[in-house]
Amino acid sequence: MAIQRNQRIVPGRATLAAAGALAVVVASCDYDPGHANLPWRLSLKNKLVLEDAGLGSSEAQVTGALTTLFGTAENPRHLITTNMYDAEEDPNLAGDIELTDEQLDAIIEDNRLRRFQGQLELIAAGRFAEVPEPLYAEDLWAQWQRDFAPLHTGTPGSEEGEPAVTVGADEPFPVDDIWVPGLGDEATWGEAAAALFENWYPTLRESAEMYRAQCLHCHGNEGGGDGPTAEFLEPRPRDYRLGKFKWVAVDNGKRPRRDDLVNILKNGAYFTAMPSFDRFSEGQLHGLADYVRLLAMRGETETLLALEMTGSDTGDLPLDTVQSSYEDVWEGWRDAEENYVAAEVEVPRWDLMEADEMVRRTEHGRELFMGTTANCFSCHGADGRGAEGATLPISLAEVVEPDSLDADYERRGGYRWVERLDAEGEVVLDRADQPVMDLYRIKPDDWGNPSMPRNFTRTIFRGGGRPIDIFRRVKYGIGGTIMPASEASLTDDDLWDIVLYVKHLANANDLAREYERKLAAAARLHEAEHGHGHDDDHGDGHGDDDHDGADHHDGEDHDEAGH
Amino acid sequence: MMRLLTTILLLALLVFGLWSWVDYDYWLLGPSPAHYTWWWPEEFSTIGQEIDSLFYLIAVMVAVMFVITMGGLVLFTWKYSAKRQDKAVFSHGSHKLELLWTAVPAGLLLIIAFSQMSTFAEIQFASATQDEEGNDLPVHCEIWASQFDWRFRYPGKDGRFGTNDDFESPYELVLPLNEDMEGDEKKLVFLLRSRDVLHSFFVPHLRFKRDAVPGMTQRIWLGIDDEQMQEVLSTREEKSFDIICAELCGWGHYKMSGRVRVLPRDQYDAWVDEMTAQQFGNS
Repeated sequence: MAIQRNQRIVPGRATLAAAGALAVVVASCDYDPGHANLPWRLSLKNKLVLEDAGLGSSEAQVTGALTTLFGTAENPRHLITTNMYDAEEDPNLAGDIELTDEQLDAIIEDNRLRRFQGQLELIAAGRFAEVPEPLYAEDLWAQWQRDFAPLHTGTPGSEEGEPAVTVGADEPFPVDDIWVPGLGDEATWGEAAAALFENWYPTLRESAEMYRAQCLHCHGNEGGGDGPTAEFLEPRPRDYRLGKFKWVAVDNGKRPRRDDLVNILKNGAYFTAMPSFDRFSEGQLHGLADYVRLLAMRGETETLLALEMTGSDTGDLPLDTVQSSYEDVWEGWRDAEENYVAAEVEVPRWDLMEADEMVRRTEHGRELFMGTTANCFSCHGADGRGAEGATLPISLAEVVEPDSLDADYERRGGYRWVERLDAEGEVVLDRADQPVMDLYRIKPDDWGNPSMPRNFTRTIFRGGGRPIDIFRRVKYGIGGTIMPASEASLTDDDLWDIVLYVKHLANANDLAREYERKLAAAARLHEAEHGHGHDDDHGDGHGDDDHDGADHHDGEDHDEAGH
Repeated sequence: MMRLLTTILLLALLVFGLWSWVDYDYWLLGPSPAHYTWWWPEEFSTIGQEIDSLFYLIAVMVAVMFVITMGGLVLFTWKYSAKRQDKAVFSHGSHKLELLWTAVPAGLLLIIAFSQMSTFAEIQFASATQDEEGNDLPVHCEIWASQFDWRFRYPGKDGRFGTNDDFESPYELVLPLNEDMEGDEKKLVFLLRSRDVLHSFFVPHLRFKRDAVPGMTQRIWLGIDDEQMQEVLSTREEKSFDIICAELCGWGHYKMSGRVRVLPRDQYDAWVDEMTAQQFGNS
């Protein structure tokens, strides 16, 4: 249909739509998800426990007790009970009480060089008024604005019309009136202002603010591992509320040390969705560990309280029960440092070991791996491929009816079909000569995730690939999972041999090594075909000195590639 | 009224578009005190100048095309508005005009194609990671991209992967400065891999960007110009440089970052010693 020549074209609609879209985009730039206003809720599990006991209406009692103990999401803090006060324990003052001198030094250095570098430069130049607000440090900023900023801007503190008060960075500081941590009597304004930033250790409030921005979307508001992005992840984010953590250097089932949490924050959990947060400063990471501890303690206390309530005749929650539950939970965390294990273990220097001793010890490790004492093979498979192996480690699973299948658990690889074997180990066949298959459900761990024994041929060790990391997993097990602590009859030397064999499985299948070997073989073949007359040693350093069998194989690859 | 408004809007687009070329301060990476690098931070890569000149060539071409097309748009919007009520003319088109607007873009594309060829070969061809005799240069470290971080796996002191002294450095890529070496020996070769989806390894200061493709091993190389690096380092407090992911790889793309730190050879060796000690440490 042709457009009439004198028809009036109305261009308004498309323009309006575009303008509307633009307005929406601009408006959403200022979008605040309002996480700060999210209150802590009870976990679904505990809600069900209370409802089953007919106490659904008494939820407020538990919530109220938890608020008394841990404050609110906006203003989290630990309650100090009389017993804790007498013992001079205060989880709120983690930065003052619990840190070692080395940790404090590292935090201060990081504050100076990384976290507040920009602010400190301006302070040193005496340009107080231009100091920008740092991220995730509201309490620090409040103190700065109260004590320092007004002197130079004149606006917040001074009266209308009065000129801004200016204090030189090198003038004496009124130590008696304004308190800045770690400051001597002879300080100047510049030193005081710098000390405020350098000695910063995050309050729980500031850490909570950072947690909501950086961690909440996976780990959830209450640390339940149920944030908005959690369901897209495999493995699922950790639920702190059980108080259990996997990659720790304490006895199986004990609470983690501060360093264990900070290490995971720094290094990430290898090849999971937990990345390295090394871009944040030492102080920020320690603060996050404090907040994670608070969330874990809150979750543990919540579960204890729900159990106490349903267990009592009256369905009430007496004050001393609340207090004793809280103190029990705190004791587990307080003593975590004492449960530090393997600090004095000497790590064998395999990089300096003789080749034949290496072979002997690896072989010994293999025997133990396949033996019934250490029993590694029963889950990790004879080939070390664990849950990704061809055969399912049957000890991990139970036969279930196909109609009881849970779709979510299935999506995450929680079920396997396995051929049924008779007493002689033969495959059982049905009438149509097809093998009879059984549906196995892989055992869940304490968080309800399918237990997936690690595949050692992938050079991926989530808790860290250093020998000591693997040694700790072998010796003390992995908390909350079916990976047990080792048998007492195995000596540390035996365990090191097992670790060596596990590392051998990873090394032998190393992709980078394979790749280099392939390249070297291709180069050798190229030389054999074209004979440029290079010296024999031309491929040195490219992993061409072992495995004659590999040469043959790589030669084929080369042919396929068509050169 | 509509005619005036539309023309003004299009004119504003033209002006703002040009402004973004001129006002490089406006862009995230900011101005460079050391060199005048339009839109980019200072660089210290051995091929950085080549990459930059290609970038500027294309940027200028695009700017000219932008002015011509936008200018035409503004002009025609004003001139041929609905109000004029011209009588339509039936036209078979103009052969000359067709030729012109086919040949000119084709010529421009050819200019781009030919001018980038040697640089492309220098970066991308297999020979780029080989010495003069065709032997592969040793791999410095393996770069793993995964949702959502960068991990760097070093072969350790023996220079070979799949041995017990390999160590990993999450987040931070540490490079040695091979001061006393020349030519190919200065090159640092890496294996680039992705564990899950497409990522892109991007170091703006080294003008290096390459996609990490799952299932594919890529040999890539970086070359550092010592003098230029010293010059760059002397102008800034921060001694390490950003690594970012330049391919939208999922919801956590924004947090997929890392740092490059370049150390003189002796300090680098000390760092390797330290990492090896840590690898066999018990902390």
